[in-house]
Amino acid sequence: MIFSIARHELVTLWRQRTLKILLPMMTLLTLLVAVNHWQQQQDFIEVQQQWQQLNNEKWEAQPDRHPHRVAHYGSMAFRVISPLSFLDAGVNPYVGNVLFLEAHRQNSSQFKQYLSSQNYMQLGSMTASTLILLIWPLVMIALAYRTVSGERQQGTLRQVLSLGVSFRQLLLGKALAYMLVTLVFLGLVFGIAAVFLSQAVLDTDIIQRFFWLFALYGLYCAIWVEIILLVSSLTTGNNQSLSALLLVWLLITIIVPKLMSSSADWLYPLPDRAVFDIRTAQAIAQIGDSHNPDDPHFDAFRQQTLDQYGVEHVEDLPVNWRGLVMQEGERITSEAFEAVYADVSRSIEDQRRWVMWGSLLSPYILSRSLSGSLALTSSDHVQRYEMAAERYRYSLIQSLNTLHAEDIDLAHDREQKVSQEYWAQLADFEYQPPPLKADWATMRQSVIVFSLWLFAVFSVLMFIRPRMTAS
Amino acid sequence: MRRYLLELKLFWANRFNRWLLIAYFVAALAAIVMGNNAYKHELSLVAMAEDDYQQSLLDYRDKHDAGELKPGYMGYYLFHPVAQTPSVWTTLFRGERDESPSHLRVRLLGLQTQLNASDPVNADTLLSGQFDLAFVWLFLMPLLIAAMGVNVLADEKSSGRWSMLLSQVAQGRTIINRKLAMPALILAAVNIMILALAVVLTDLHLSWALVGVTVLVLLYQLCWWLICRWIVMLDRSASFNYLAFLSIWLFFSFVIPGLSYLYQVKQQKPGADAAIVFEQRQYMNDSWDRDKYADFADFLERFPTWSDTAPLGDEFDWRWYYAMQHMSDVVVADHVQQRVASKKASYEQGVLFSWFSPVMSLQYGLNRLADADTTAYLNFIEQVSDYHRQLEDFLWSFLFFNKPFEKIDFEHMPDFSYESDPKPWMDATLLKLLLIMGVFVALNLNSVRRAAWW
Repeated sequence: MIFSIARHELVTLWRQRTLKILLPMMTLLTLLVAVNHWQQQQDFIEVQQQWQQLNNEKWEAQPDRHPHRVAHYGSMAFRVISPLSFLDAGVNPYVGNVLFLEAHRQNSSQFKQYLSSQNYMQLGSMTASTLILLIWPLVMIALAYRTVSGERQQGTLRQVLSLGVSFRQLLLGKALAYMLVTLVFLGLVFGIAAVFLSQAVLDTDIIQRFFWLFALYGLYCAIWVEIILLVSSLTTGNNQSLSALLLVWLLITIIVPKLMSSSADWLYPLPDRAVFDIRTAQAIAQIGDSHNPDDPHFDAFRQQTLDQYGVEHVEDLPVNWRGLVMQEGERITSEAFEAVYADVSRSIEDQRRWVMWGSLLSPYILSRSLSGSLALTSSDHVQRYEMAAERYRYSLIQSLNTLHAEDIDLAHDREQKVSQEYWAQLADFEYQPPPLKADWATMRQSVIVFSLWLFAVFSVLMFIRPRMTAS
Repeated sequence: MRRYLLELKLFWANRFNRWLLIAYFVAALAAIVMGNNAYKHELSLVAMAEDDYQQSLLDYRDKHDAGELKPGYMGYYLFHPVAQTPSVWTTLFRGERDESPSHLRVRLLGLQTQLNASDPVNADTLLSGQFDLAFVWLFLMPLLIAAMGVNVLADEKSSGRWSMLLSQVAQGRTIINRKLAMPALILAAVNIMILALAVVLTDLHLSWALVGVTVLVLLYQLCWWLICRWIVMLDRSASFNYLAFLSIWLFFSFVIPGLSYLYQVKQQKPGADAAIVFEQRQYMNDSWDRDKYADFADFLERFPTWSDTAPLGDEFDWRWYYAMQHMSDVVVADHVQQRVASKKASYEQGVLFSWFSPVMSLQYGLNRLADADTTAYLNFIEQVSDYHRQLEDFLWSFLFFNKPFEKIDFEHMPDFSYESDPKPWMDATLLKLLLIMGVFVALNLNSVRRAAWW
């Protein structure tokens, strides 16, 4: 019965112009946008890899140098964006991709992927995921708003139900029909996307993520089908159904997400670059200043070191005192930075938690967040990358400080150099994004709320009684 | 007049209209409050950095008193805050302000590596965009106009009143105009009220710019009203009207900006900017391994202002150090210029696209007014570069000419104060809006001719 209802709904849809215009148009537009982004993405990945390689070559090609010079020369990390960015660019357009890692300072990422402003796309940037998550529900509304209200308005609802079809079956059949239309759309988009992806990516983790993205978008559309059927069943006529659905769409996809994130900014404000740097500098000064010979912290550190080695003067130490000071200084800088950074991270975490409350009103917020996590383009992934880069920076600089302490004599410290052979022995920065398995943990809460949405609307749908007549 | 009053009563009696207007007003109010808060927050951060700066200057004065001040060290350790002070209009129109850092600290090292730092942000909030008054006006107001007006005819027809109404007037157009005028007038009044409220709640003052904004917003409203009226006159079903209006809205507010963006990024070379920081760092660090006398001689030849200086000795010399830092900016100057040019070009391309969308044209205008667009950012960057040069000149004059740094010299330390870009915002926006409106006026006239019963 459900299948014949679905078939009937599809035949009716097919007879209207709306589907024949909207489905190909949306598919083409989405593919056009995705293919365009694919090209850009591949070019960018290639360039970033070239930069990284050049960086590593230049690193090894350094002449004999004093280790502290090398620490200042530092290294650079070029973020390689996810190969799924062409489907969901996530936060890519908003974050820098070049990170200069040097001694004493935790620099911020510089240079975004593009120079253009995102500000003129307030409804969402032109990516496949926006088209699927934001625009496709609208297309479904246009296709389906009168699916129940229309039957009622024409009087066919009573007829159909009198034939022994239950209202639930009717809804399930209709839902099936609209899900099939959605799957055709998603299938075409993902089918062609898969062709592109298969040319460049063989990583099974990425392929799994690709399929989960498909599933996510499919289920998200299922929530919309449920909402549309619900509204169409509860409203008195086609016009009411359409205006109510458009209002719901506006609230779910635009107003609630924007309102939540703007208010998050208000409730949990963040410092800007200048103030962040000032706080870090103040935190460092509170512990100890490695460049001040009379600093009390370093006085105590000197005494402790002398006691440890059982000598009277730093000149008598078996290791280079200056190298030890550099090590301790780097430790302090890092500790201070981490404390200030942890403050900012807490605020960001509070902001995220606040926005997630909005997901009780908007499955769009959930899906966008899950989509970013699956596509490896969420702000969380960028943050993890930057933290890994900072860990690498710290260990690189400390290895150089160890070299300074052990291979350079205190007397005439600055004039000495270490052989260039050492440079190649220090590891390059290699970052592997977390595997999907690890990501599920961070997505758990979103997945639960998402499932709640799916089942809650479905349950309501299964228990409503239809109005028989239009008012 | 009495008819208009009756029409007003009828409009207000509609619960749906009433609630929408109230929601719109509350949304605008929330946007103003949040915008004002963001503005105040920015000012407080700027003040905080300024306090810290003054404190460090005091510390250096103390050092001077103790005879311990070394100007060379001061160039390295003293950070000077630079802020693109927000225009009070950013309370209402945040524009591109959150996209690039507007508050940094610079010191006498190579500038480019410092200039392109980024703010600690939650990129998710950038992704959602700000809920500011610009958003409420540009994106939500058209929908409100449609909700209140696009079905005035279809509703009368479906309720069966239309033929009765039509029999009372010579032209059906009169009724439609009256029915459409009512929500438009009320909305205009609400919009003016919102602006007035903004003046009361924020630091905005009465000014010609405020008059300009009022004119533009009312014109923008009129533009969407014309679109709405055109759809009404097509005399189709209510659902068609909604969907047609929504398609036009999406076209202007999503499709054109999206295509504009795709076009802009297509013109750019990916990853090119990395050269700026990569080559700067390479040059700076390699200079320790090069012949410092030759490098310094080369620097003096390039910048003869400083050539009247003592020769370098064997010891580390701040003059050489700062000269190399400066040269590291010089060697990447071409890349920097390329970046600025690309950014400018991208902005200009966007402006070009804005001729085809009322949303974009007003948005570019408002962002310009609020000094929160690419032009403003590039202007800020240029002023920071100038300031950096002044700082160099100031400190170098002591180092290169071996002049003692007196306590009074702290008074001469250059200050940074941002000057907003005075580029006009009103004329082009007005012209664009009028042209787009012209198209819809023509469509309105055309549909009048087609519908016989008008």
